[in-house]
Amino acid sequence: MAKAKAKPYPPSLLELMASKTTILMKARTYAAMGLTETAQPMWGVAASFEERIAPLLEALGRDREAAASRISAASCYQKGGDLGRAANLYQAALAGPLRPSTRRDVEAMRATCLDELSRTALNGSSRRRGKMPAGT
Amino acid sequence: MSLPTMRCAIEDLERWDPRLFLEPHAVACVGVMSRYAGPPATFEVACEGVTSRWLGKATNFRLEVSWAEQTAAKAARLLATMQQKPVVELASVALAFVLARRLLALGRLDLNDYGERADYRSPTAECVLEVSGTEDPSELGRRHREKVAQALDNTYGWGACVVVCAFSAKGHRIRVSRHDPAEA
Repeated sequence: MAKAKAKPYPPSLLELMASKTTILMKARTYAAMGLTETAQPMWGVAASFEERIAPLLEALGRDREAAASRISAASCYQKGGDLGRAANLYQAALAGPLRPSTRRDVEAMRATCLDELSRTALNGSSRRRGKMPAGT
Repeated sequence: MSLPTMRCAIEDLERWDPRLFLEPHAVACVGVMSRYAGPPATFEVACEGVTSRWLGKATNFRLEVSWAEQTAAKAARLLATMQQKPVVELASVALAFVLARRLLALGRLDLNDYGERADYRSPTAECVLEVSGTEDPSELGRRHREKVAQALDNTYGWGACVVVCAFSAKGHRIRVSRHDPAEA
């Protein structure tokens, strides 16, 4: 299995992951505090970090971690209101080596995203932005 | 025989890893703890599967968490603007990070977003960290079982650490457990 052959994380990747974690912690915390407008731009930044991190993890043989990074990117884009990018990344994550339960979760997240996208793009209806229920 | 006691100031959280933006969590933790009593707050911590040089062969210990007046003032402002449930969740994350560093030795934690869930993981220990909190102590066992199942079903196929905190006027409690991966 790929897991056994995974190479160690290079310092540059750990640095990238640390930067992503910082911005994502801020986005989640501000959203939990109800400061959705403050959190709003942070979702996109966190997502773009994840998009850079995913292929680097893949290059190290860490395919499941790469898939998780794409799921995280999609989830962040969705919260930031960039639904098209979110849908694409959910689809990319589904092409990765997911456990059955994760696959079910991601399919459900993608369906919700597409539903939201069709309502927004086709009907022009407004959507909630960056809202996130509390929980871990 | 008296239980081993771990002491910490909640403000230490920010010093340990200033980049992690844990100040709101520390403040929320004070917000919850101070509703029950002044500092320090004492937690009875029950461990399962945890190996720690500090803990030795013990499976229970006492966690004493202190805080500064300045943090209490921030907490009062936070409580005035936030609903109780997310405050308890933030508070539990603060305590989980204390235990991740002082007890579980998880190293630097990475965070991924997973829909409504936060997905904390330790890349060096190949372990996820699942956190939850409640103000209903009767919920502790059920919540812990749920979180163990959820954590072991993690995306990576890694092992898991689970921290569930129960804040209560009858005494705060924390259940901490460490589990091997659910699959080979």
